[in-house]
Amino acid sequence: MPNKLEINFEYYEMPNKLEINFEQILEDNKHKIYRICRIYAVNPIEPQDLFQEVVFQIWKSFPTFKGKSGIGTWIYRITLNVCLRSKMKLEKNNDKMIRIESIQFVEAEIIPDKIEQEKYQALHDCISLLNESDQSIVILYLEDLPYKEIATITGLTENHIAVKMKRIRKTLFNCITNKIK
Amino acid sequence: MLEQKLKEIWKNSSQKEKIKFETSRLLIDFKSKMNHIEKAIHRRDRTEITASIFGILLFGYFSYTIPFPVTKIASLLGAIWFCFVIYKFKSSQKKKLAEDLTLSFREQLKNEKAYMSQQARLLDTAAYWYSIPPFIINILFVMGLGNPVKYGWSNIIVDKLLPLSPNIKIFTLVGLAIFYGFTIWINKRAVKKNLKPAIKEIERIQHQLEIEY
Repeated sequence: MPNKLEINFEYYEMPNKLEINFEQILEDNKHKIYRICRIYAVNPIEPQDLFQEVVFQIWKSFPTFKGKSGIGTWIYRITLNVCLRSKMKLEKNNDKMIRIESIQFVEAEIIPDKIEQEKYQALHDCISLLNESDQSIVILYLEDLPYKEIATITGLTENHIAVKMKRIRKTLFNCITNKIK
Repeated sequence: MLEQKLKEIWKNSSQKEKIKFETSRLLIDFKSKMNHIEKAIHRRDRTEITASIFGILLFGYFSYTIPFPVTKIASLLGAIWFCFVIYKFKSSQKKKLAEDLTLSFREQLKNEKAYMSQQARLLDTAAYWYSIPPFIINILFVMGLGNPVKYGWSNIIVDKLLPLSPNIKIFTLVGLAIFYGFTIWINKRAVKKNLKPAIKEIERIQHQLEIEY
């Protein structure tokens, strides 16, 4: 998935432009980060809390971005790692879950219709039935990433992803077909 | 067909909420969150190191002033042990810096497992470096305390406290044994209740990731 922001990394070491660049990266990627956070957030952690933590970790890791992979791949890696750590409850330090007031969540003016919401709920439920590893792969697949990129993010081979996806797709389709009748 | 529909449902799901960044404050908030976390870490580190430095100074002073040979040796060993605790603490901190969330999912799991296993080893062996050595040092220290009159050693505190009766020595050593036994138990409990389940959880996901079918 080409990302127009990749060209901006020539400004990487310039503080003012770095800030502009970072904000733009957030703006362009916020929805995909949030979609993933909604899947991984488990009570008592809200998707919003997880989103803030991911964004904070992206900001923290930003100076180490070398541009070896695309910014999108890099963001997916951080997002999945932070979300999984949270789900596995590896993070014991509550200080890390401080609310950042400058990130706000407001209900959209155009609320999706009930049928659309039900469809999403069915998809969410079916994804939740998968194991953690399959969840991460299917999320990236739904994000429309090619197998090659999914392999880079997960650290598996393209072939491995293809084999896994064949099975996951079947499970997911069966589940969703039963739910949306 | 279904595939495309699912991708559409997925992508439209984030439209339910608007995410707004107050850009003028965002970086200030991040920096303040970072400072808050760093301050908490520094506070904890400072407490551990200050306590050890206090131990070094106290046992160093004892080794200089106390005339009883066995207690003198025990005090020296005590000061050395506190130095070792600082070293152990610092080297464990260095390993923590290995956390890198930009690695691939699989590498991150591997890193996390290595770190957790190292922490588990550290706590699991706490008896051998954190409890038994200072307990032995304490036994030597207490048992070595003799009659100050024989060594011509006198001051207000020494005259009041020494010599210790055998009963008081035994009572003190039993108290210390309970205390060090408790530290062993609490470390083993942390391994059993927190670290081992976390390692198992990582291994479970690693296994899910590795199997092809």
